[in-house]
Formats: sequence, structure tokens, C-alpha cells
Amino acid sequence: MEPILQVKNISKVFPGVKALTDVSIDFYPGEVHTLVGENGAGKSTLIKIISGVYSPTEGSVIYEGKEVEFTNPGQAINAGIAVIHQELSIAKDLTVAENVWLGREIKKKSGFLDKARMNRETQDILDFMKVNLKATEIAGSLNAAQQQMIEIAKVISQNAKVVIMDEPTSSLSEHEIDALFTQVKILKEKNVALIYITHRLKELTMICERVTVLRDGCKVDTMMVGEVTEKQIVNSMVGREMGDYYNKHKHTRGKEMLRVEHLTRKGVFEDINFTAYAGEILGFSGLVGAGRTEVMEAIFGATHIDEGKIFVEGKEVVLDNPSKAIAHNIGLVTEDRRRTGLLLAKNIVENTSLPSLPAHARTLGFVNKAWERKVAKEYMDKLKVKAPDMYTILNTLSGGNQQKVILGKWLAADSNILILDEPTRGIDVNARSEFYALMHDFVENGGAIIMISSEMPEIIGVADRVIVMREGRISGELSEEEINEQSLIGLASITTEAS
Amino acid sequence: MNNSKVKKLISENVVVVVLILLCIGFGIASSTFFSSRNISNILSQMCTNALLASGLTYVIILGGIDISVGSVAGVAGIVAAYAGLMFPDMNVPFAIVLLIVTGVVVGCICGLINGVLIAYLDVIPMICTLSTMTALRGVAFIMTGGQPVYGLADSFAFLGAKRVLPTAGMPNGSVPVIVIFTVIVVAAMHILLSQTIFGRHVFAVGSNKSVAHLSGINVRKVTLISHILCGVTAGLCGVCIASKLQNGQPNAGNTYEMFAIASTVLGGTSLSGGSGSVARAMFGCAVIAVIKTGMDLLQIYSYWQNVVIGCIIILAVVLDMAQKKAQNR
Repeated sequence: MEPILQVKNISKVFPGVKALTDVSIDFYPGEVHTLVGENGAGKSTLIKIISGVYSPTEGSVIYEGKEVEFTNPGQAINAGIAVIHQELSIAKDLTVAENVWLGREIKKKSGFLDKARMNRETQDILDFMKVNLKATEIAGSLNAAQQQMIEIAKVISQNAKVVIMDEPTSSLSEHEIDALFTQVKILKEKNVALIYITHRLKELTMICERVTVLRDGCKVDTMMVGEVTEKQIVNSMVGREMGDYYNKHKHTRGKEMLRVEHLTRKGVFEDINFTAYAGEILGFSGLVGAGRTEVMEAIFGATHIDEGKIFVEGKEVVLDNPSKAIAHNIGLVTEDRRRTGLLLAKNIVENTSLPSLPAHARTLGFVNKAWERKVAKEYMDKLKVKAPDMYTILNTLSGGNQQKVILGKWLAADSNILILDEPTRGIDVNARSEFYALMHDFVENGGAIIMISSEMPEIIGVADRVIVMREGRISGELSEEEINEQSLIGLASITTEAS
Repeated sequence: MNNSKVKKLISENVVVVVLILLCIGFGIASSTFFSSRNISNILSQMCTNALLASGLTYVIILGGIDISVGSVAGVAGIVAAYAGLMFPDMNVPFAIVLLIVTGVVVGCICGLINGVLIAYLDVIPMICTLSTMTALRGVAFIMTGGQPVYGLADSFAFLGAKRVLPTAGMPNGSVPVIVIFTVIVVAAMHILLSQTIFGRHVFAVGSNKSVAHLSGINVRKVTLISHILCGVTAGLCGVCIASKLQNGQPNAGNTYEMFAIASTVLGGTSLSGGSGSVARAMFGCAVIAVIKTGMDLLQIYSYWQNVVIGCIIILAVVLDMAQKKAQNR
């Protein structure tokens, strides 16, 4: 059998990061080919290259025997390569049929929309899929699983030959997953090549023929699902050499700094209990979407909680607003520094002093500019921020230096509890190693760090203790000796064997 | 100073360059342009616009807009006129206090309405202030029955129409009182924005709401106070107009919002929020005032003046966007 789609020796370099290195994979029609790997292994970069969002730095994409160079997703769709994203792209106020034909509407000769024909053809597809939906229903009134059916109907209407599904089951119930797999089988019978991304390894045996494991942007292996066990797949996902740039330190645990009890926000996270101590880096591991970020935002007062108590240094506190968390010397470094971490158009001084201005106000609320310049200078030097001067606009700094400015901002605010959400994302190796050293300094001086990281080597290399979350709950806690990739994967993913 | 620094200095101060070029141009075209009478005229005409622009700068830095300022000014002027009618024998200091108090109170109430709707009920600023603009103009007509409010004491006109410091050439005074008043208000607004923590918070909220919130800033409160400030400056503008005319016109301040927005944007305050300055907005006001009086001197038909002002606003916004794009590249 000839492959319908091949990627050959694909490499993709982003400024400071090599996302893919020499990856070659063949995809065959009528097969489900699953891509597995940790967060950051290069799965999404690969599908973005296949679907025309990125172009590869090196290598080629060969589709139906010809080399193709898509410069935008529209070209890939026209050629027959469709993507169903994890975040569904449904226009909620339009009908099912209007969604299916969105951007490719059928017109009459007069130029007006041929609604009757679009409705009829959509209904034919829905009937063929054996789903109980009407073409004229409003998409917004349907649940997530039904909306996914619209996406599949769209893919069928496009006569797609390659369909990429990015974690389609992440928001579905068991029952809905079964319905989805029925559709996957229908697509297979239509001789479509499916590229399937999932973190749930037990799904492999249910629908999938081939599996390719990616790790650190490299292909580890492509295997036939029938010939390997889940355990073998897990083992090839893990087991990498760890550079000693983590600079692992043995810390001594100090007094209790932050304790939460029964923290709950309905439908998001439930019954979260943990304690963070001075002199300790507490890791939070788990899959993207496990609810870690949401828990931390709630503790910081950025979002509300339904139930639960928060204690800072043993005293119960109500943190329903970030200003209160800041007053209790908590700092939050968010996972998306460009969107929620920095004033990109402002300079280092303005960014560094922002949360602590009120505490250092002069009379009548005037900004204490001398103090502001002093701390900006102090933390630029301490954290070795590379910038021409302290009036440099943040937009012009590298990711690593931006992250240092954020850290400086919380240090200037006298934080002694730091919550770091994916602190080294998109930062090159050298900047990372410097950042870890700063973290070690911070805890050795009596601070407590809570670090969310989806990168297992980082958790293993940096954390003194790890809490793993899965689907909004804490699924386990690992002491330093117990932290390894198998135990982390076991607690994080919904598998039976791996743990 | 090297070439790139000169370029940067010019690009950051385009409005000053434009102002100088306009002055030179009109100075050549009209012999009376640089007369002290005309300059004093330009300054006093600038004032109402400058008051509006000083408050608008705050809401535009927030990434919002307030197009109700002209109507707020109208209502404030009428309330001041009615208040003035109650004291036919008032002296000058009393009249000044009366005008300022009515301006502040009316402006505060209107700003509070806009602010609550925008900050706490999340109404889009454009739609919110479009509605209050219409409604408040209606209030102005209802209060007056569509007729101007006449019969005010001469002392009422001191703030808006009189001059102080007489010279040989100008026996009635060389400096308009309204200019002194405006300078004080604008200076206070400039210092509040550029030197205080509140001002810093306005920039932070306008740059990025999430970051501001996560840095402990009360985003809603900052938005509310900014709208109140904008209302207060509009109210003060309104009482100045009433004082200048020595009566209350239900139509006073109509379309002033356009000139004020134009001045603010010309002064480099970005309509997408996050950056701007009250002081620079004053250069924008000067540009608008120079163009208007210059065209008057050259006897250009006043309807054409509106066309010119409209085009200037578009030009200013296009330039602002082009600069943003260049930065992001």
C-alpha cells in the first residue's frame, strides 16, 4: 500500500528553540495513526506543518505522491487535509448546515445562498454518519460531543483524504467517546488517513493501527499497535538523558508557608489539599487541562473558589483578589507571559515596580520614582537581565530576559511564596539553567516555590516533591525518591498498565 | 546626536513639528496671524477643547472612548446658568466658585453613570457614551424647553470671557481668565497621570487588563475613576462655555467631542490604549485651534473646516496604526 501522506526529514526551528529534528513519518489511507509524546515533544508543531500553518525549516511534505508547500491552512483544506482542533471551531449562532459549509457556501446561479441544497446535503451526511442531528439545528444549543459531530460532517463534506484529530476525546464522556469512535471507523471505511493525537493510551488499542512516539522533537519509533504493549510505548516516551543544567539542589524544608484545604471550584477542580514549605520547590505535574493553572489562579485570587480554606504561614486568609495575595507576599508568574505576565509596551522599570507601587507610595499617592529606579536596577543586576538599560521596552527582550523581569517584579514586591506556571516555556537552555539557579537561591533564602510544569524532566530535575493532578483532582503525591517518569505518567494519564 | 536619534525625536514629536509648520504656513498666508490679539484668540478658543481633551486622554489610554463629553458640557452649562439665575447680584469670586462647583458636580454625576455602565456592567464604551451623549443632549433640551437661558449677571461671564493684566495695546487685559483656569486644570490632570500611582495604574490597565489585575490593581475602580475625571473636565468645559456666552445654550458643546478626540489622538495618545499624555494632547489642541483660526483668517468656508478636521482625525489614526504595526514587526 502506498502512503497518502509522507513527511520527510522535517526540521522546524523557532528563534531559540528547535521544535522538530529530522522527523520522517508515512501515513496510510484507511488507517488511524496516533502521535504520542509528552507536552513539548513536537506533536502540535508537526500537525501545524502538515496543515499549512507553519512551513518546515528543512524537509518536505509529500501528499499523493507530490511534494506540496502549503503556505496557509486554506490550501491544505482545499487539497483534502482537514484538522479537527481540540478547541472546536464552531460558530455557535449558526445552524449545523451553515457550520458545515462555512466559507464554502453553495450558491445558486443568481448568487444567493442555496440553503435548501446545503441543508439537504448536510442531512445526507448526518444520516450517513447515523447521528441523530438535524441540519437546521442551531450549533450553540448542542453539547460538545454533538458539536464534534458537526466538525466530522464538515470533514466528510470536504471529501478530506487526511483528517487530523487533536485530542478529540479530552472533553468527552466515556459514552460520547464510543460514539466518536464509531465515526472514526466510518472515516476509515471511506479510506481516509487519520492522524490522531491523544494522551489516553488505552484508546490506542481501540481504534488505532500505527503509533509514532515523539520525544524532544525527534521521532523515537513508529510501531504497529498490535505488536507492542502499552508499557513499551510508555517506556519509549520517557527515558531521556537529563542534562545537569537543572543543577539539582538538596533543599532543607522549613516552616509551613501555604496550605490549602478542600479547595473546590465546581466543574473545574475539586477537593485540593496541599502544603508548601519554605526552602522547598513543590512541583505540580499533570497533563495540560488537568486544572493546575486554575487552582493556582484561584489561590492567587484571580478567580473565585466555591469551597475551601487557604492558610498563609498558618493563618487562615481570604484571598478573593490578587491585591490580597500580593499583600500576603504571594507572587504569580503566569504561563503566558506575553498575554498575562507583562506590559509589553512598557519598560523594565514600569514592569518591575507595578505590584509594589502602592506599598512604596509617597504622600498624596505620588510614585516614588527614586525607589522605583533603585529596585529596577537592583533586580536587573541580581537576575542578570540582559538589556541596554532599565528603560528598555519589554517587547524587545528575549523570552528568558522577559521571564527574569517578571521574577524581579515579584522579588521587588517582597514575595516569599512564588507560584511559577510553566516558568521556562519557550526559553532557551542557557536562560533556563540561569532561571533554575535563581529558583534555588530563592528557596535557600527561605522562600517557597510552587512550580507547575508539564515537562517531566523539568519536574524531576528541579522539584523536591511533586503533586500530580488529573482531571481537576489530585491523583497523587510523590516524595523526592519516588519522582520518576513512570510514576508521573502513571498518575497523570488515564491508563491502567503504566502505573 | 546621530541620525536615528533625530528620527526618533521627530517621530515622537510629530505633533510639535506639524504645529510649527502650520504656524509658519498661516503666518506667511495671513499678515495678522502672529498678532498678539490673534494669538490670545487662539489660546482662548483652545481652552474648552483642552479641558475636554485632558479628561479624554485618561479614557483613551484605558483603550476606551467617551463621546458624551460634548453633551455633558451642554448639561453642565445649563445647570450653571440656572444656578446663576438664582443669584442675580453675585460677585466675581462667588460666580467662579458657583461655576466650578456646578461643573464638577454635573460632570461627576455624568462620569459616574458612564463609569458604572462601562466598568461594572461591561457596556462597550463607544455604545455606552453614544447613548449617554444622545440622552444628555435630550436632557439639555428638556431643561430649557429648547430656549437659551438668558439674564445672567456680568460677574457670571468673568471666568469665560474676561481678561486680566491689561497692557498698553490691550487695555481690557492681555490674558484671558479662561486660559489661566485651563492651565491649572490641565496641569493637575497632567501631574495626576504622569506622577501618581493612580496614573500608572491607568497606563497598566490600558496596556493589559489581565496583567493589571494580576498585579493587584482594581481594574474596575481605575476605569470608573477615569470616566469620572473625564466627566468632570467635560463639566468644567461646559460651565466655561456658559460663562463665555453669558447664557445657557441647550446646544452648547455639540460636536465638541470630535475636536477633543482629534486633539488627543494628534497628541499621540493611542486609540488602542496603553500610551498617551495630557501635555502632548495640548499640542494636538493647539494644532486644531491653529487650523480653525487660520482657516477663519483665510476666510475658508466653515463647512469646509469640518471636512478638514475629519480628515485630520483619520490621518492621525492611520499614522498611529502604522506606527503600531512597525513596532510589532
